[in-house]
Parts: sequence; C-alpha cells; structure tokens
Amino acid sequence: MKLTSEEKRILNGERGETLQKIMKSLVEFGELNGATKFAQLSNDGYFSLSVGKKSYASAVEILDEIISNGIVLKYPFQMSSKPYYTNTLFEKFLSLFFLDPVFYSRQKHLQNDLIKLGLKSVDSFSSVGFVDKSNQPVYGDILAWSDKVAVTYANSVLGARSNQNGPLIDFFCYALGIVPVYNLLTDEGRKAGVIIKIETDKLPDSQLLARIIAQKAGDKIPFIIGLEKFLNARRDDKTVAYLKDFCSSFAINSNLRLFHINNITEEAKRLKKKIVLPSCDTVVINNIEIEKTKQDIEIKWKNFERKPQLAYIGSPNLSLYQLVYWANEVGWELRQNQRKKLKVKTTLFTSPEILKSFKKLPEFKEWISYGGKVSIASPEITAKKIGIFKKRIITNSLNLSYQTTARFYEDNELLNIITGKRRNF
Amino acid sequence: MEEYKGRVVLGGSVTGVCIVSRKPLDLEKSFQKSVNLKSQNLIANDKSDLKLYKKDLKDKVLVVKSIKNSDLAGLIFVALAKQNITPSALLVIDQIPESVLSSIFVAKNFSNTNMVVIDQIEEDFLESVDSGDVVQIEGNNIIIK
Repeated sequence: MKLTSEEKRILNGERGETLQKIMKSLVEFGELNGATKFAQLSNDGYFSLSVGKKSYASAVEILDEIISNGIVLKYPFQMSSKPYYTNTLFEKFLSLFFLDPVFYSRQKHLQNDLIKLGLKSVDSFSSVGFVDKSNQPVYGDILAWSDKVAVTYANSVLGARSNQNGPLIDFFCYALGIVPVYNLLTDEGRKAGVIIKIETDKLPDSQLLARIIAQKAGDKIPFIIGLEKFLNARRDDKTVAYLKDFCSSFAINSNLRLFHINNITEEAKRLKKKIVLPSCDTVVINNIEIEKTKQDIEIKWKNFERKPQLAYIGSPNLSLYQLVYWANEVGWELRQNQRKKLKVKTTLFTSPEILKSFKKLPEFKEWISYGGKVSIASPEITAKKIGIFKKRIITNSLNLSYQTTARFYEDNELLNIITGKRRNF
Repeated sequence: MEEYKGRVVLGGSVTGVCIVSRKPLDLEKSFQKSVNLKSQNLIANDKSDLKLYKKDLKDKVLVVKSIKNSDLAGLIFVALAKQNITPSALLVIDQIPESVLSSIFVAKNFSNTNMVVIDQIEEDFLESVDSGDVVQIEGNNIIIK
C-alpha cells in the first residue's frame, strides 16, 4: 500500500506500540484485499462488538489497551443491539445470577470501554439506529462499519461507502481515521452484475423478497427494477421501514453488502443504469416464485394445526412508524371484530431510543390497552428462551423463523390471527 | 507427492499432521469452550462435526471446507492466539469471510500468533487430503507427503 509520511511514521512505531500494531493490522488486511491506499473516514461509526461474552475477553483487553494509551476515536459511534436488558425485576434477577456470571461476564466492562471510546450515549445500542434520519451518513461518505445490516443499509439505501469490517478492525480504522480502499469503497466494486426484474401485482414481503434476490444474485450485486412502483422515491417512513427489513434479510442471506433499487436507493437515483455492468443477465421474480418460496418455508411446530400462544413482531427492531402502524391496524381490526383484547399475546420489539419516542404517543397507551407488550430485548434471544418451554410462537419475520421455532406469516395473515379474525392455522 | 496452491493470508513454513473436516467450521461452537475454560489444548466441541469433535487441534494442520460467517466469531482467533493454542496451520478451501479474516490479522499483531493461514485452495485438495496425512506448507504451496 502507498502510505503517507504520517502513516509510515505510525507503521514504524514512532507514535507508540499500540498504534503501530493497529496500523500493521490495517495495512496487512488492506493489502490482502488488494487495497493500494487509505481513504479518510468522513462520518460516525456503527460497530458490531456489543456482546461481552466471556470468550471475547481478549478483544475487550485490546480495547483496554487502546484506552490506556490515550487513543481517541476520530468520530463517535453507535453499536449493534445488546444481548439483553435489565428493565424488569425478572430481567435484573436473570442478569445478576445467570447472564452476567455465566454467559456475558465481560458485558459491563465492555460497555464501560465503549463509553470511554466515544459511544454516542448509553442508549446507543440498536439493530436499527441507522434509519434515524437525523443521525445518518450521506451519499459518498466513507465509513468503516461492521454491523452487517447497517453496512448494507448505508451502502445500498444511503449511497455511503463501507466494506463489512470485522470487529476491532472497525475500531482500528476509527482510531486512525482511515480505511483501506477496496471493493465497496471503489466505483468499480459497486457496479451491479445482475438485473432483477420484479413482476408481482403487489409489494412482496420485504424479507421474503430479499431472500429470493440474495439467492438469485449469488455473488453479483443486484440492480432491482419494478419495486419502484410500490415504494416512494423520496423514501417516506413506510419505504424506509420496508428497506430496513429488506436490508436485514439481504444481509443474513447473502455475503453481498450492496444492492441497488431503481429510482429508490441513492446511487441508483443519481447514476441510474450507469451503475450496471454491460451485458449482465436479467432474472424475473413473479407472484409464482414468491408463493413457491413461501410454501417452502419450514414449519418447525410438531402439530401444524394447533393455535399459536405468542406473536413476536420486530426482527429486525421496529421503527416508530411500524410501532404506530401495528397499534393502529390492531385497533382497527379489534373494533371490526368487536373485541377489546388481542387473541394472541403479542410483543412488539424495538430499540430503547425508539421506545422512548413511542411512549409519548397515544398509540402506545392504545397498544397496551389491547393487552400488547413492547420489548427492547433481542427477539431472537427471547424466542430461543421461550422455545425451551415449547411455546408456539408466530412472527412476521422470516429471519426469526429461520433462527428459532417461530412460524412465519405475512403481515396481513398475522394481523388476522392476533386479532381473532382468522381461526384456522 | 501432490502439490496445491491457495491464497496466503498469514505466511510461513509448517510441516504437520492434518485433521480434516468437509463441513463449514463453526468457530463459536467448536472453540468457545476451550477459550472459556482457558484450556491448554484446543479441543473441538461442535457435536455436529464428528470429524473434529473431541479432537485436539493445537499445533495440528486444520483443513476445513469453509468458515461459517458471523459478525463476531472471528474474535475466537484473537483468544486462541492469546492462549497460544491455535492450530499450526489453518487451510480453508473457500474464501474466509471478511469479518473473520480481519480478526486473524488482529490475532497476529496483538497476540503474535505464528499460525499459517491459507484460503481459496484448489478444490481437489479437499478430495485428496485426509486426517492423519502429513502436509508441508511453504509460501502458497501445500504438499501432501
């Protein structure tokens, strides 16, 4: 890699041993990936090391070393969601006697380190913090993020540039304010290699569609056409919520961290088909394909026809728009069915910061009055814990259904079940 | 002697006995226990991978098809290097995921691991090599002896 004189000084150890080790790691990692230079970072971080497992103690010690050497990150940062929260008495009990000593013995230490290193606030742990418009990178920003969903959203929706960096390498980049330039940081590395044409008569379920596209695209960045007729080019709250869920599923089902949607995602809006490689294949996705994929989803319940006991909505975490949407839709359906309470115990999952905003709205009280719950815990970990008791959970999250025994239904089907409109399963 | 090539991630010269799995390596399931117990050995603990299960991989040449992608699992390498219980070499047929790859460099520079790592190895290698075989690694050359 071609280094500036200051970068060479750091690499030679003139700025201390810790910065030298950091620079060596970045140079070696960059060179392996074909980088020939570094670029300056231009916006805040979004990192994945939010879990203080005992087995990550060595990583936490490296953060200790950074702090003890007085190294300050060049930008503040947010983190992926925490593994658990301690809001209720039961959660506090669980944390004190089970989670902290057994599984997450470095959690508190890690959180203290993150605050010292520049975590935006004690609540800056979220799986969806990147959709907050007041707090987002912009088109062309150079980042070194590591949360795979956040990286996919920043690249695809916002047109910022980040590879998916590993844990610690992300901190190292922000400690030096630079990132190796390769792959998604280059113009060439962002070009689409396959056109995906959507020919459905309605907006497909975001996670279902993202999974199909990830499978069809393989290792080629997809340029998606036909979705623009269902989404808002100015990316209103509904479109942002759809894209957030799409990114989550795409990141889980693909090693790619970028897709383009014609006239919707930022780069596609600005550069149009200039970002598509010449003579690439076109793949069509229609209603039949969507329905077939839906039918192929494994149902992990022993008895398919038994009634669900719990419903989990919010993997990835719900945005404020989605919380209000579910409260309103459920309220309307309950009134239509002359019911006052939900038929199935339903929990909406969101982040701590979004919950604070939701609590200020009348829809929060309405949701609680229907017997609904709101949680800031991880839906995956909660579903796995509940799974131990063999509870039958339903969800509108394809990702949750893959990771747990929860059964997948699309939004409308789920709404009908939890409000008692639909009785057969 | 059969010779194969791959992409050198961490270079070096090693001759050692192979332990081979044709499944994707799940770093957390396989090695978390050895890390948590601060073990002197690297005993693989993933029950779904019987080729590795209960085997001591410390100082062996570990050959796997791929490494399971996960945001944080690569940190296990940092811990193994710190405890000095890494395999002597890690040979991966597919490309190592980026998030795992970066942790290998962190392990090298912060814990001075000497582990040799090669990925993107010619596919035939996995069909030719078996547990118990001795391989010699020099640069990007892998020779089954």
